[in-house]
Amino acid sequence: MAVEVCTSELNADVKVVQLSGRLDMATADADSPVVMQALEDSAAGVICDLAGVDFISSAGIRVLIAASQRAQAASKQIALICAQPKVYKIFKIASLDQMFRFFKSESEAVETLWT
Amino acid sequence: MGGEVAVEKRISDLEAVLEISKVMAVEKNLDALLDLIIEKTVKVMDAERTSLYLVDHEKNELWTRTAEGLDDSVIRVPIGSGIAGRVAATKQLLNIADPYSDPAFDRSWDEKTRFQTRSILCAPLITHEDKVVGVVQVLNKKGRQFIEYDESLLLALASHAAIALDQAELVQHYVEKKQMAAALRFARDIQANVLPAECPSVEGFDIHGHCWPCDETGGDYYDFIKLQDERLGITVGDVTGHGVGPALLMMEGRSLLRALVSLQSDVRETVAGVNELLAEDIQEGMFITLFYAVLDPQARTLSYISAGHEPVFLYRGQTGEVEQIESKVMPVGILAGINFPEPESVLLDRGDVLLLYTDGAIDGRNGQDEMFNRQRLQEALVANAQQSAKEIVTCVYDTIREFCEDEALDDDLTLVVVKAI
Repeated sequence: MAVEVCTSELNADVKVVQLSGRLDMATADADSPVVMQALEDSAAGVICDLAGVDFISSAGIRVLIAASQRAQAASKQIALICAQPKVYKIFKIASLDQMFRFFKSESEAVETLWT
Repeated sequence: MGGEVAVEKRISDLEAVLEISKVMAVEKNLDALLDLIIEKTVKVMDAERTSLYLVDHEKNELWTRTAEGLDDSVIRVPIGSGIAGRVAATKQLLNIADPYSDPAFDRSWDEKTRFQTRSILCAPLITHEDKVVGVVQVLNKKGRQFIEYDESLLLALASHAAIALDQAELVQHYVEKKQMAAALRFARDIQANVLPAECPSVEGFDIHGHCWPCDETGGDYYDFIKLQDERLGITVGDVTGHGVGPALLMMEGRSLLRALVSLQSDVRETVAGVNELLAEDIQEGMFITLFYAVLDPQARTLSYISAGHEPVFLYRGQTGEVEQIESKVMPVGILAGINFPEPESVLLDRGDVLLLYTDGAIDGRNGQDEMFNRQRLQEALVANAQQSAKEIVTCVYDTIREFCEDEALDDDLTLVVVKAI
């Protein structure tokens, strides 16, 4: 799974982490520090762009939960955007749609959480 | 650095080196070997002090666990830095007659130990494969400076010590690996012992479960708990990940649930209690998906809460349809204080089959990278629903393994079947 991090063009306090491929046991250990570092580097929080993610296992979800917990402790926010329906369904089945904020786009996330 | 050494002394030293070589060759305990090398080297070299450094290849450092005269001090030196570090980097012996004039000499150890280093002879320990495994450093030749003869003598000792150390390290790695494997087997046995030894006998129901961990230890578990009035607690849990950490969390989750069940029988209070207690001390990001149900054989009902667990399949014997029991609340251990819903309940008629499973049952892939998925699991249930609970578990497992072409499991896999008869 490739991970790319950049600063949101809509809000410089927010980092955007683009995830892609499969987020599972094999990739979680490598991806987790990248997401955590983006959170640390951001002033207000992180947007995880899931557009390119086609599967997420419980190990992958763990990466996002850990980031969410750390964000909460630091009074920052985590937003998940552009999740494919099959990926959103995985969150829904585990009732974890209650824990994360899902948005259709970066602009919707920034407008809702950081404006 | 020349100098004459009597023939008798040369023969005596050669015999000593051969004797040391023999002793070192049979010593496979690394700590004892390090002590032995230091003790013999300082004696043969007729010096005041010897230090032995080993190479830490991962950190690119030298380190010593035994430095004669320094008690328990541990010194770490980057390879390339200081005198020993330079010897390790260049693989060349150094004979330094006046250490205090050498900028690479670290005089702080002399100050700490009130020692006066007057001369240093430092040789690399190089194996037959030209690998540097350490550095031996001899300080202060008694009565004179180190001469060319001492250099040859130390190199001869160093070459024997290098081979012995290399072999001892290999033996130690092997022993550590064996000990680790034994510890993991022990952990697996403990874990296996907390899984039900036998499946419960409940009037009107046929029940069976099995867990296949993908490592020595796993994060899956299932449990049957006898309650009052012949009711039965049934639980399936899945901790994120697999291996020792999740296995420990699984044990904690199981113990908490059992302890809470012994205090009160309410399904909601039990699951909420597990969540509160786990959320207090669980590692960041970890969680347990948990399905907990109470089967009442007299009322033929199953009351349950699914906390983030995979949808449970309920095959209806009369219609052949399959219903899915979905989670309504997030997994336990993530967040304290969440509001758990009241348990839901289903009536189980004769021929109905309940299949509980963990994600290892649906996430397995075949050679074409296709997942077994829920649909195939449901079809496997329907195809085998007329059989006994044990046969259903076995046949569903075989179907999964056949689809995955018997590749090693990527995740723990648990199946529990409750069949109304």
